[in-house]
Amino acid sequence: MQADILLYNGRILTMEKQEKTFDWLAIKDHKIVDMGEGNDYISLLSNSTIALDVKGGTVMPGFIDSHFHLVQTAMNEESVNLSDVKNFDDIGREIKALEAKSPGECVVGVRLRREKLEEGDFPNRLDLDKISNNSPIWINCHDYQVSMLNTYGLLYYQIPFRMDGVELDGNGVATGVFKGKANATLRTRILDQHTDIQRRDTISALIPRLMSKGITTINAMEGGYMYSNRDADFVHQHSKDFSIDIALFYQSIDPHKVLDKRLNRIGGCLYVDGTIGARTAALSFDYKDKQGERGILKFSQAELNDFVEECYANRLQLSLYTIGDRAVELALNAHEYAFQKTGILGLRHRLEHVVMATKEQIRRAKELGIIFSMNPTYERYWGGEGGMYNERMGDKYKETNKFKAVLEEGVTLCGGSDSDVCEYNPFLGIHSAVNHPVPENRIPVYEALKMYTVSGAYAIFQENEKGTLSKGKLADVIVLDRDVMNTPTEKLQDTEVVCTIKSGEILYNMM
Amino acid sequence: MLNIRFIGKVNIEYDGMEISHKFSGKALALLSFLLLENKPVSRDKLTACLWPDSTEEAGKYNLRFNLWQIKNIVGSDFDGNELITIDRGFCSINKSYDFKCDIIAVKEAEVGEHITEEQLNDVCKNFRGEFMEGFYFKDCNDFNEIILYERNRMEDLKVKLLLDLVEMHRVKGDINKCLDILLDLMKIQPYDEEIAAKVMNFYEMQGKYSHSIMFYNEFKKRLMSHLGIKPSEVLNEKYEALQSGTVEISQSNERIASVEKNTSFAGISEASKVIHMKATSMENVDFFCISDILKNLSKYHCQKVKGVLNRGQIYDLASIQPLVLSSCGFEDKGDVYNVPTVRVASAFVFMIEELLERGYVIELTLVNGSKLDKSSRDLLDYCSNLDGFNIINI
Repeated sequence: MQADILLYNGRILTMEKQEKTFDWLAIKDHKIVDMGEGNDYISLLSNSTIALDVKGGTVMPGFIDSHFHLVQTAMNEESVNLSDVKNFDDIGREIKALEAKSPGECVVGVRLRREKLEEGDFPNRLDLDKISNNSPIWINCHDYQVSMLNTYGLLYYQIPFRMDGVELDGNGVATGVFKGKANATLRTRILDQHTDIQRRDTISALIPRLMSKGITTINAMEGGYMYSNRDADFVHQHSKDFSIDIALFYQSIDPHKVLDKRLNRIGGCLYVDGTIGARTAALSFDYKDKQGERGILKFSQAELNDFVEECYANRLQLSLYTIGDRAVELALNAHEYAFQKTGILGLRHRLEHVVMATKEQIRRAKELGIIFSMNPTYERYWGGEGGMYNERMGDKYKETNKFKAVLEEGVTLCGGSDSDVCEYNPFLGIHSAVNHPVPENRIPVYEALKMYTVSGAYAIFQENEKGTLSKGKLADVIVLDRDVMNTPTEKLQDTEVVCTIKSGEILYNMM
Repeated sequence: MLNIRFIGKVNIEYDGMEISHKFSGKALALLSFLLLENKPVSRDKLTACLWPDSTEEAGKYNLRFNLWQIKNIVGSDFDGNELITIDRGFCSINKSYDFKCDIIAVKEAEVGEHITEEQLNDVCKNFRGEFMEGFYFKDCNDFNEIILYERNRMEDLKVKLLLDLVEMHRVKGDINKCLDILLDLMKIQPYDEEIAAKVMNFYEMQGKYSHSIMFYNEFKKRLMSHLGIKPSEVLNEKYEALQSGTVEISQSNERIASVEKNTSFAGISEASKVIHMKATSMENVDFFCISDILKNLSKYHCQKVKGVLNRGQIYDLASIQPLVLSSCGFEDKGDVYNVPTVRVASAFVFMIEELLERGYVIELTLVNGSKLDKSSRDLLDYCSNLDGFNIINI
C-alpha cells in the first residue's frame, strides 16, 4: 500500500493517550492508514505521495468547535467589528470604511461595547445619521441584546413599533435603539431577509478561514430566539455542500419539528437563562452591581420538565443553554425528572456554557451522563479581577468556568468558541483554559486539547470517526508550527496552524 | 376619480389607471405632506421641509416645479377644481376636488364618533402596509421624521380601529367575525398579548376550550422560540384555569354579556367536564392512536375514567396500553395478554360512551390525522358521530 499523503518528522499527538505519540502519519483515501516511529514509512512512499516534513511541529486531530453560530459568523465576517472602538468617531470611521466598499448597501456593525464608549451610552439614530445617511446602518452590541439603526435603517426595515423595547424620544418617535422583545423581533426580521445565496456565499468565504485555524468540524447552533429559523433550515439542507463537517443543533423547543427533519438532536442556545453581562443569567445570589436582581429563568420547572421528558421519550440528544447556577439547577432537575420518568440514558445530553455550575451540580451532571460544552474564551473576555464577571458578581468571579473541577468529577468537557460572540481561533480557547485567571480552575494543555478533539467528537457521537488519530479514522489532521506540548503556557495563544487536512485533502497549507 | 394611497406601497390611480410612476419622489412627499396636514401650509415651511439644503431661490423653484408637476399629472376634476389650492404663499388640498385618499379616510375614522360597522370595515381595508413604504429622502431629515412618526402612529391606529371593529361584532354577538379579525391581526402582531388574550376570551365564549388551549400553546411557543420570553402572568393564569377545567363563567362582564346574547353557549358552565387530549398517529401500527389516547387518559384524566370500566374491559384496553392498569388501580403483574381486536374496540367504545353519558365533553386534538392506522380510524369515525366527542385535526 502506498500513501496519498505522508506527514513525517513530527510529534504526532494521537489524543488517545497522552503518552501515545508517533513520528509519522500516512493518509490514503480519506483515512489514516498508518502511523509509526523513525523512518519505517519508506515502503509507503511512491511518486504520487505528497510527503510533508513537519519539522518537529505537532500533528494532531482537526479541531471540533462544539459551539459555533455558523450563519451569523459567516454573515458577520462581512460586517464591521466594533469591539475595540472607544467613541462615536471611531464607530464612524469603521462604518464609513465598509460603506465605501459597497455604497448604498446596509452596513452592519457588531460587538459594540457600551462600557468602552467615552460617551457612556450607545449611539442613537441621530448619532448614526451623522456618520451616514446614505446607507442603512445596523449596529449590534457584543451580546446582541441591544441594536441600533440610523434613520435610513428605521425606514428601510420593518420596525415592530408596538413592541416593548422600542426606545422613543419625547415626541414619540423611535430613537433607533432597540432592546428586549423589539430587538429580538427586529433581528429576526432583518436576518430573515438574507437570501440563501448570501448564506452560501458567506459560509463559503468563511470556511478557508476556519481551515486556517485548524477547525474541521463545527457544531452549528442555528435558528430560534435571536437567530433565524431560515439559517437553521439552510444549514439542514446544505451542510453537505461544504468542505467542513457541520453537526446541526436546531434551536427549537418543538421536538416534532426536529423529528420531522429527521434530526437526532435538539437545542444549542436554547435559553434557560440569559447573560451575566445583561444581568439576566439566573443566579442563586444577587448581582453585586444591582442588588435585588438575580436574573431570569425562561422556563418554569414544570415546563422544562415536560420539555426534557419529551426529548428523552423521543430519544433526542438535548442541548440547553445555562449560564447561572440557578439555570443549571433547573436543567439538572429536569434531566433527573425525565430520567426517572423514562429510564433512558445514553443520549449524551449537553449543557452549553455552564459558567456558574457548582461542584455539587457538576457531581449530579456526572451521574446523569451530561456533557459540559464550555467556552474558555469567556475568561479571556470577561474573567479575572476587574473583568465583567468581577464587576457583576464580586468575588464570585472566582467560581466561573471551573474546568478543573469538571474534569476531576469525570464529566466530559468539550470546548467551543461561541463564535461570533467570541473569536473562533481554538488556541485562544485552549490558552484561556490553561491560563484561567483563577489558578484553581486551570487545566493542563493536554486536557484543553482534548476539549477540542476527542471530547468534541464524543459530544456528537462521532468518536469512532474522528477526534483521535488512529488507523481507519477519518483523516482530519492538522499540523502546528510548534511542539504544543512543550510550549510555555503563556505562549499557547500564539500557536499557528500551518496545515489542515480535511478528510484526506489538504485544504490549507502554509508549510 | 383620483384615488391616492400612501399606506403601504404608494399607489395613485386616475379612473382606475395607475399614474404613480409619473410623480417624482419629492412630488409624492409634497402631496403626502399636504394630505397629512389637511390645512394650508406656507410655501416656506414646505420648502424648508422638502428642500432643506437648497438656496431660497432653488427651494422656491423646486416647490413650484413639483406643484406644477402634480397639477399637470392629475389635472382638474369634472367640476373644474384643481387638487391643490395655492393662495398667497400657502398651499392646501382642495377638499372640493373629487378624490379619495387613505390618509384622510383613516384620519376621519380616528376622530369619528358615530362611525358605522360598514364604514369602519372599509377604513380598515386601507391598512395595506406601512406609511410610504420603501421611501427614504436623503437630506430631508424633517420629512423623514414625519414618515417615522406616521408609521408608528398608523400602526397603533390600525390596531385600535380593528379592535373597535371587533367590539362592534362582539356587541352583535358575531364571535366568529371577532375571531377572524383578531387572528388576522395576530399575523401582523404575532407577539401581542392583548390581542392574544382577546382571542382566548372569544374561544371560551364559544365553548371552544381546546381551541383556546391550542392557541395559547402556539402563542407561548412562538414567544419562547422567537423572543425567549414567556406569556404574561395574566395569560398564563387564564391557561392554567382552562387546563384545570376551572374557567369561571363570570370571568368578565364582557363575557357574560356575550354568553347571554348567544344561547348556544349554554353548556359553558360544564367547563370542568371537558376532557382535552392530544394524540398522534402512525399509519402502520395497529391501534397506535387509540393507545396514545388511552395513555393520555391514564396520565391526565384517570380520576374521570375510574369506575367507568369493569376489570375485563380494563385488561382488554391494557393489552394495547399498559398504563391503563395503574391508572385504574391495578398492578401490572405481567398478566396482560393479547386479546381479539373486537374486545379492545368494544371496551374503548364503551368507555367513551360512558364518559359522554356522564356529561363529559371530549376534545381530541389529532396530530398527523392523515396517518391514522385503520383500527383507530374506524373507532374515531364511530366516536366522532357521538354528541360531545370533538376531533380537531392539526
